[in-house]
Amino acid sequence: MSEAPFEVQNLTKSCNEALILAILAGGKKHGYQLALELEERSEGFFRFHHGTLYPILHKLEKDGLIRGAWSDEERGRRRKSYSLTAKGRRYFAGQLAAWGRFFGRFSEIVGEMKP
Amino acid sequence: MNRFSAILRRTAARLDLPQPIKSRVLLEMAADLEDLFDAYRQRGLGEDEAERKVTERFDASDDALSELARLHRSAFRRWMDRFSAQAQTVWERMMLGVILLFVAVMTGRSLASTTFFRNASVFVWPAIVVGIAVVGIFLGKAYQLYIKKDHRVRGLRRWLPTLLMLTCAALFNGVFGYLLTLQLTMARIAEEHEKAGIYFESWLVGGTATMILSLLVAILAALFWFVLMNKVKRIELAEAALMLEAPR
Repeated sequence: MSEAPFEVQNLTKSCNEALILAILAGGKKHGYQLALELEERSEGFFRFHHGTLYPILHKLEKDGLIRGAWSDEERGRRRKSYSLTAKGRRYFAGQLAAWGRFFGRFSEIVGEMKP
Repeated sequence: MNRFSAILRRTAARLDLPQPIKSRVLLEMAADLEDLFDAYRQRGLGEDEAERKVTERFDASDDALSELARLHRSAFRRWMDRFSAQAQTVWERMMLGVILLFVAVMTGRSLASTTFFRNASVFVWPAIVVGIAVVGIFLGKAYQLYIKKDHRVRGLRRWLPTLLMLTCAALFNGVFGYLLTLQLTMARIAEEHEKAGIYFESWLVGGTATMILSLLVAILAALFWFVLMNKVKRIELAEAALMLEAPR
């Protein structure tokens, strides 16, 4: 899993995963915090709908890349927060390298095109 | 009550997951919706505006909910899906019918035999009670689905889990009865060695009869459940297809 190849066919999925892992690399977060932080740090460029967020979070959790933990009741509610696992950190490092290669190749080809 | 309970109820109705996984997913969503609302309020938005933004951000599409359901579906459920109504050929359905008929006839013949009851242990009675309940539920559901054609979604699956529970009850009764009567027989043999042969033979005949009946009832209940579940799934799929049809 940690050496998963970069799939150009699944760019959106890989991009969403990388963004979530990047935010979680900064520390433990709740689902809504992830969505908000992503939106704020990208100045509104990346906006996650919750409907999109949960399947990604649950898949990453199932794959062992992030860990979900329920906290005790605060203000009458139990919350689930996510953090990166060691496997997730290795996977994220691999993804960063893969994205670097992707952007390099992409720039090479697109950069040659003069409008 | 959660401010967003209407959204959560709608999501719950569309989220095809067994409990308690469904509750955990909804609990997570509920807390996030409330926290997102609080976060927007702290950023200076009014209540209505914050609620509108949260609702807009939630947007759980069918694709997303299907993906969630797929992620949490157990291996057993994935395996069971292979036996869905669509996956079955006419031959498979006919085979199922033949097996069902065979088991029903065998159960009926066992119950019709007087020597069977004379030989069987007391554990035969719970098996008969379970068998009557199974047949009763099957006839009731069959009447609802095939004759009355009451296909309202809310009551479609009612009583089906009970059939599965009765399958387990019949199995438990058979195994428990078999082992308990064996234990009692061995205790009697320990007291009266000279009658060991008679006691052992009596247990073997009685225990086996109880076990056979319990197994037949369990198989019958499981087959009834399978047949009814397939019918229910076909009705649900037809309903879904109808809803997806474009208006003419």
